[in-house]
Amino acid sequence: MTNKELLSKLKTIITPYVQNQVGLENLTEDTDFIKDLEINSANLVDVILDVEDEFDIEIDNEAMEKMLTVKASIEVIEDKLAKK
Amino acid sequence: MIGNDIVDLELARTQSNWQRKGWLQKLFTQKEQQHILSSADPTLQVWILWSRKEAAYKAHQRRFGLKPRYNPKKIECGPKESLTIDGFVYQVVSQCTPHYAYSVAKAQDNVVHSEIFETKTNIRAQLKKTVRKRLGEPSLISFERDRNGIPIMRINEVLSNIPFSFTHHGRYSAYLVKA
Repeated sequence: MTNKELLSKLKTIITPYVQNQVGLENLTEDTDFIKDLEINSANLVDVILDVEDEFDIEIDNEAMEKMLTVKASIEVIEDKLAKK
Repeated sequence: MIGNDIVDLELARTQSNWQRKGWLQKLFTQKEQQHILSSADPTLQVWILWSRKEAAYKAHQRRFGLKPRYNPKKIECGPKESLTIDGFVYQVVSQCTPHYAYSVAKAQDNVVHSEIFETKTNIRAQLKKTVRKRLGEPSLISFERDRNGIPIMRINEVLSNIPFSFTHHGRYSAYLVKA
C-alpha cells in the first residue's frame, strides 16, 4: 500500500469524528487530531478501533499513545502492517 | 497542579457507543471495567470515570510540561477519590447532574475556584473577570497555548504561573483556577 492510499483510507476513517471541517479540507501529515480536527478525545478510541478493523491489525497501548497526528498514525499502521 | 473536565451526557450518548467491541478495554483498566459493568448505571459510570481521567491527565500534563499522549489506561482510578498516573497521585472530585459529569483534579492540597456554565459562555472572558477581580486592578489578560498545547495566561504581557484549566463539551463548559 502506498503512503497516498494509506492517507486516503485514514482520512475516510477519521471523517465521521471530525468537528472542524476546515481542518479536514487542509489535511496534511502534520494535522493533529485534537488540535486541528477537534476530534473529541473519547472518539479517538473509535479511530483506533476503526483502524484496527480496516487494516486488520492490533494496536497496543504503546502504539495508541502516539496516535494523535496523521503522521504518527501512518507510522504506526505501516509498522503494524510490516509485522503482519 | 490542577485540571478539570466536563462531559455533556446527552451529547456523549450520541457521540460514543461505549458498548462497541474493544471500546472499554482500550480505555479502562480491568478494575475500572468491573466497576462500570457492576454499577446500576454503567453509561453514567463510563462518563464519570472518563471525566476523572481527563481531569487528572490535564493536571499531570501541566505539572510536568508533558507532550500530549493518548493512553488512558495509564491513568488509574482509585482507591477512593484518588487517581494514579505513572506513580503520581491526584485527588479528584466529581459531581453529576442528569445533564453533565464534571471532575476537578488536584496534585496537592490546593484550594481551587471553579465555575460551570450551562449555556454557551465565553469561559476565557469569565476567567479573565475572576483573575482581574483578584488582582484588584485593571489588567490586560490574554491566553495562549504552550508548545505542548497547554493553555497559559499572560497578565500585562508577562507570563503568569497561575494554574488553570478549561473544559468544554456540547452545551457545557467550565473553568478552574487555583484560588
